[in-house]
Amino acid sequence: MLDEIKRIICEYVEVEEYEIMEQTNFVEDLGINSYEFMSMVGALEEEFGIVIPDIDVPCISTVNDLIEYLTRKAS
Amino acid sequence: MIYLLDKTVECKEYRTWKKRKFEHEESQLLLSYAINNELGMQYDESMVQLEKCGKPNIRRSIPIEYNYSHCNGLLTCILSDKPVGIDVEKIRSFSLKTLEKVCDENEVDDIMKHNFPEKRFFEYWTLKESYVKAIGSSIFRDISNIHFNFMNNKIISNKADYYFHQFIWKNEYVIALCIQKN
Repeated sequence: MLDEIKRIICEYVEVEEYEIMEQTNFVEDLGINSYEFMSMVGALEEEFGIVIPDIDVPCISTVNDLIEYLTRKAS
Repeated sequence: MIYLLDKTVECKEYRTWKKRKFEHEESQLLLSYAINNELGMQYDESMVQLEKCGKPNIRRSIPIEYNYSHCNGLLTCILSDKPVGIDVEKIRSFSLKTLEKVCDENEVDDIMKHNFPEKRFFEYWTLKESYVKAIGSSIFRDISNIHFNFMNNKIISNKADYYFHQFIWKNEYVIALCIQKN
């Protein structure tokens, strides 16, 4: 899952995959803005075949938050 | 008054994180200039306090509100005596999935019929973002409650308590601002 997430992040933020770690913070470490985040969430929904309600998004600050969220959604 | 600083050339080679850091630092300088220009005061960070909702603003003892936005090195800042929000985005391609997440059915229809859909899409996006910034909210919390349409090139919204205005910079950037009415 981490590899797929890294690939999607790199579509929206100018960063190398090896620089992305589980503790990476989307805003503080990657500098992602709200439009890029919204677009990335859309791409994650398509990739994982899920719906991420807007209200859930502010709870996702780090790559690890995202992994945990997607894992919960999948189960 | 709105202030605009074009640093697009300087940060062309920067990657996202460095670009945002550069833009933030330059935005502080632009804000400092604006405050000095309008209030004759020297800006320092102790003037800023976070409101309950988390929106940064000038201390209540100073009768002014501000907001700023930046994208790809284009910096904008606005000062007002009313709650205010500003947003800038570069006109570029967007995915259909993002379109569905950002816009309602009528807005999607308008965008798809427009002769420059990318521009129209970012007109909607920046208007919505300027509103949530004015009220100190989050785009993810409020996007489904904000609706716009363009009637004879006039911006019509469901937020009757706010004025909206928009302009294009160099045919590349859309800038939207939102100011609370009296």
